[in-house]
Amino acid sequence: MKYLYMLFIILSISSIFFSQGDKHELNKTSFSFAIGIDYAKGGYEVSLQLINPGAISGEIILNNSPYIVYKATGKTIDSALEKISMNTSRSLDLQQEQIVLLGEELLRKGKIKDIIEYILHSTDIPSNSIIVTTKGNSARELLEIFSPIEGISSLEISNTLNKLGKKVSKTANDIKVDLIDDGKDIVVPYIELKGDAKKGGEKKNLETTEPTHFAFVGLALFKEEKLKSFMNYKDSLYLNLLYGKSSGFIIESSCPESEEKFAYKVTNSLAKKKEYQKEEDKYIFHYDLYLKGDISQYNCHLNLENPETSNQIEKQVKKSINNKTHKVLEHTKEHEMDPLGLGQIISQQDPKTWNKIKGDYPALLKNAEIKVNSHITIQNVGNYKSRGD
Amino acid sequence: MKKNEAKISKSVIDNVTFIQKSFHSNSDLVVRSVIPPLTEGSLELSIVYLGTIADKVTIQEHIMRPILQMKTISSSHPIGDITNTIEVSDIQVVSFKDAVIKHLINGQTILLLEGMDHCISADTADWKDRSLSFPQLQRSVKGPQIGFTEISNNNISLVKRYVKNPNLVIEEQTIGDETNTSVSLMFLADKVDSEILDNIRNKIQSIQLNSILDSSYIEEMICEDQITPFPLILTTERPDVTSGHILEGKIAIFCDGSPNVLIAPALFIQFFHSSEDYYEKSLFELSRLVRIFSYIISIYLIPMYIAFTLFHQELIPSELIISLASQRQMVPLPVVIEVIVFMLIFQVILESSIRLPTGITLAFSIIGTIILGQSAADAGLVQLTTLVIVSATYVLNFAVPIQPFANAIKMIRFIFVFLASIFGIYGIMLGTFVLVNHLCKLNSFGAPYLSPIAPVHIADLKDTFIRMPLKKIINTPKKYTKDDYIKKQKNE
Amino acid sequence: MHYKQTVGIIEMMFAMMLFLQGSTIILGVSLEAGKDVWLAVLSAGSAGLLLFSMYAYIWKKNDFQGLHVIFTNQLGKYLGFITSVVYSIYFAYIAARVITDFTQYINGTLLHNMLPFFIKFSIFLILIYTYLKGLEAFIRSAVIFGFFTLVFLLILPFIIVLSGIFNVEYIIPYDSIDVKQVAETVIPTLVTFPFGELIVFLALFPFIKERQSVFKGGSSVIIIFSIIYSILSFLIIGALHPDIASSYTYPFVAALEQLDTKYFIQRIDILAVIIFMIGGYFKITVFTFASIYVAKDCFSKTNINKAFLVSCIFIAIVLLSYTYSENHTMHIKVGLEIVPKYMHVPLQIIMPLIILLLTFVKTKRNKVR
Repeated sequence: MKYLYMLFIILSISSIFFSQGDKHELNKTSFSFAIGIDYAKGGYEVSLQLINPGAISGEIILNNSPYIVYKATGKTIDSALEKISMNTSRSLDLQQEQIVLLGEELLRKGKIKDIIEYILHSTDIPSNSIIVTTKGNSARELLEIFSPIEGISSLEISNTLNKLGKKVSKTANDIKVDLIDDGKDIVVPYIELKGDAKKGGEKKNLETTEPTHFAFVGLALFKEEKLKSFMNYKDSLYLNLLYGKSSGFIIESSCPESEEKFAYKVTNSLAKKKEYQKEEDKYIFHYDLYLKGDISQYNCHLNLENPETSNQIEKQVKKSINNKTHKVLEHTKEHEMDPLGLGQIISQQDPKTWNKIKGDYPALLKNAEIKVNSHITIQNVGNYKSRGD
Repeated sequence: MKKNEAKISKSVIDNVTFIQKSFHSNSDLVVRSVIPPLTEGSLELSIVYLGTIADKVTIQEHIMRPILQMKTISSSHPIGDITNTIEVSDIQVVSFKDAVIKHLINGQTILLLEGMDHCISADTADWKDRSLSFPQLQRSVKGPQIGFTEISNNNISLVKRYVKNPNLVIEEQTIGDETNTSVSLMFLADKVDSEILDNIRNKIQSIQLNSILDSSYIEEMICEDQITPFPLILTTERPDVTSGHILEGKIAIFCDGSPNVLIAPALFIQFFHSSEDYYEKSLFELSRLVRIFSYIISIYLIPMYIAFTLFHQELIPSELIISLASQRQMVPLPVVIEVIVFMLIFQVILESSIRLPTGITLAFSIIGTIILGQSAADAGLVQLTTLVIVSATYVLNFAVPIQPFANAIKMIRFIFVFLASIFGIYGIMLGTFVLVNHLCKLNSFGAPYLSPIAPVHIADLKDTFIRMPLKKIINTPKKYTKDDYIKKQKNE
Repeated sequence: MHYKQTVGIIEMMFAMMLFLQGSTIILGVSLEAGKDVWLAVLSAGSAGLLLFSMYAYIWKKNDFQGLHVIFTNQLGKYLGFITSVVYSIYFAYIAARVITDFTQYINGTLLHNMLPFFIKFSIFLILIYTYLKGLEAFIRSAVIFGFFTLVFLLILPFIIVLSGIFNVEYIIPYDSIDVKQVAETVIPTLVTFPFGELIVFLALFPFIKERQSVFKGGSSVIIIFSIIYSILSFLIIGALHPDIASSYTYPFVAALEQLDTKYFIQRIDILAVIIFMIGGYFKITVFTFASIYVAKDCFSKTNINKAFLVSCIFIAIVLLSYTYSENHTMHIKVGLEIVPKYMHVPLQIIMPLIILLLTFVKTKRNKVR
């Protein structure tokens, strides 16, 4: 036994000299929190936002820019990344990536599937990073913006999306699921630049009170693998409502007795089982929505103490939900898209019919109709029960 | 020293010269010849003692005076007459030369009688001692506030006051050929495990050291067959802790001259127990869990820090990594070297602050903490986070009530740092496999070190992580599964 | 044959739990069954329970002896010897395969640039150390590691459900069960891996103190593990989607990567990595111990040096870990197609059945006499 002990000790000592390829000192690495991918001829243009930690915090704050955007083009994303790493003095760490920003043009060309596959496959980019697209600007331009609040634009984007609730942001896995599923088209959240892109790229942007900044605007809708249209913030919320994924937003509707408006603030929402029904050549989908919320701004004259009034108000809220969802459906019908996954509902509940209509499905959407049955609960009416006049 | 089995001679002068020779005519050796004025019979005797350790008043008042006041002595039984005369409670009749020497060393007074081959030894020892005081190392807020001192007999009597039980046995033996230290085992005869007792007894008897100055000598000698940084014997200076363990069926080893009492067998988990746990309402207090947790964290904190910052940066939240990276911008040393240097510096500060005279401590703490720590960070030599992590480690380490146990992980921590710097978290796990295996293999005199956790002993778990109500734990004695370790030793 | 009975039943139960957990959850073999994964796992678990009771019965009827003695009792001296050697090599090969799994996993998730050789080498050093410390210490350490693993595996379902990465839409409709797909997953892959591999414990059971409670303990471990395993697989499917989950190399880690805790540790998949390291270590070591014990029993009558024999087995494990494992695809292909059919099924099911039959006949005959 003794010589086995000896062997053990010798081998342990020799292990000191093992090579260490995975070791990176923190001051020898560049961190990147956001990667932008744009369309370039015959490939991709990749832009990396590299953090310059010395300029953000620490004992002595350097006067450098807090981050630098490097860009390179390549036939594959990896070759572009390699070109970037040639330009920097430090090794690149993509493991901290929080945002993958995809340029609008790239998605219009239908490259989303390639990108998703790349992220899922890559050992570097974490699979829980959020995928966002842009409207109007390229991803590179957005990454170059100095962000006025968080200091780092990538963190600002991810915080903006996280604030809206976990379900709004999409990871590569979520999109892959939508790609696989029959009868459902992809939606990806998009952000837009408010202000002048050129000004935003200068450090002055941090010093004004009206800086160029990002805003979460809504959902980008896809038909199959191609980006087709953008849906604005309000309509996106109703789309999310039908997914059962959104809360904390305002539904405004008109008062039961006049043209004045009141606001209903949803604190909790739940979308229940979607029933599918076929009537002649019409496809009718039933949604059950359970909403809980408060009345916030109230311009109506009816006394809220009266139970009758709250019934009427609930009816008004229902009406406006129906209107809005109808609008959402019209929008999708126009582009022959199915972001709601109506086809999926058919395939789950009636696989036989689905197999028959599968071939020319998106066109059949014209005959689709949504019936929302909302159950509204008003929790709080506020301190003040009626308008005085 | 060779065993001198010779009997003493009948001549007083011969004996006195022998004793003087044995002590190399030591200046504190007092020989006083006395010839009491007897009316009947005759008596010639010499009183021999060591002036520095024998109590002169006792000799004068209770030995000399009664002898000088004797009127008669029987010629057939002079020894009996003298023992009846002397007013000392502990008297022995000795007839061997080496026994005489041994008694003199222990502060006894020897009465040599002319024409007799026995002599009388009277206990007049008066050891210099400090009075009983608070325990120095293991303080507590609640409960008894008395600590052991250097006199073994006093310590034994302190324990005997707690455990008034005829089954409480004390076995004394003398070891160390040059120091002749008396070592006593104390245990409850009806509860102790006889195999463990035999084992400890044999090990103490077979100690081959010439000198024994402290109980830690014994600890090292009887635990030497297992190489480990962890203490296999519990050291305590509190009589209440000792009594508690004796009542659980363990064995206490008292060593004369040392205020620290050894308790065997000791289990890993018992080093986290403090006597206070039994005095407070512990069921609702998590102090034991806190101690265990901080002990484990104090091993893993630095290696984790290294593994995270060197290998697994993706696991650190983004806001934190920005601040870490910005701190590192201008720091010259690699993080591993930085950590090791600071661990060593902390170690040195600890080491020197213990030994320093009290006057300098204040100045030292200013130099050690402010100048070294703060200025090093200001000068950009070291990252602030590293300082925080290293000092947190040492603070956590102090939560363990028993110091030798807290010190045991010093070396282990360095090994973990080393592994983490090669393999990251994987290296830390490899180290953990080795550490846990090592702990599982250890045993303290036959009791598995990690018992009652591994091997599991459900009944004993009541007093492991959380102390259950006293009603449940005191009256059901703990059982330790024994390894076949003792049997193996016997065969060898 | 005399065995030193030093191992307690609770420690052995923990070791069995860690062994079963081993690489099973991480590799996600069960996820091939899609939505009905819970059913697949549960049915594999019940099949595993049957197998285990067969093993326990064989062991009990053969006087609680080790594998070699069982074989020589039932098959005769020479055939028994050959069978024992085959089993010893089989265990060594599985140990080597788990080492390769382990290496590829560490390489794929933690240390991307580390040479696989170093990882293999380091785990091999730990293996030697563990062997030198002995079976008793090793099985005892299972209590500590098992406790942490169990706590993690029990808390994890709550984390997954509460964090919201579990999507109910992915697993509806619940009622349509694809029996064919379930059966394909269960037989032979899921039955043999991990449940059938429990046959390795026949080599370790003789060291248990409480022999009568082995069956009870072992089967409760199988039941508890199957339930945890089925719940976790179900949740992973719900987090990743049935069609995607099976295309991940390490679906369990991928699912946990979705969790964004945002606190001290950004991603808790590191915990999954640690849990797998523990499980892998236990699996490797159990197989190594079993291989060594069977070999030792085989050659106990010859005058081959024990240390030499042990060294031979260690070297064999290292060499075997390099066969058919040039790359991950090859390794997995061999592991999923060849090993279950040509190694697991004959050695885990058919051979024990033969032994069971022979034992049965023998005890009947003895009773008649």
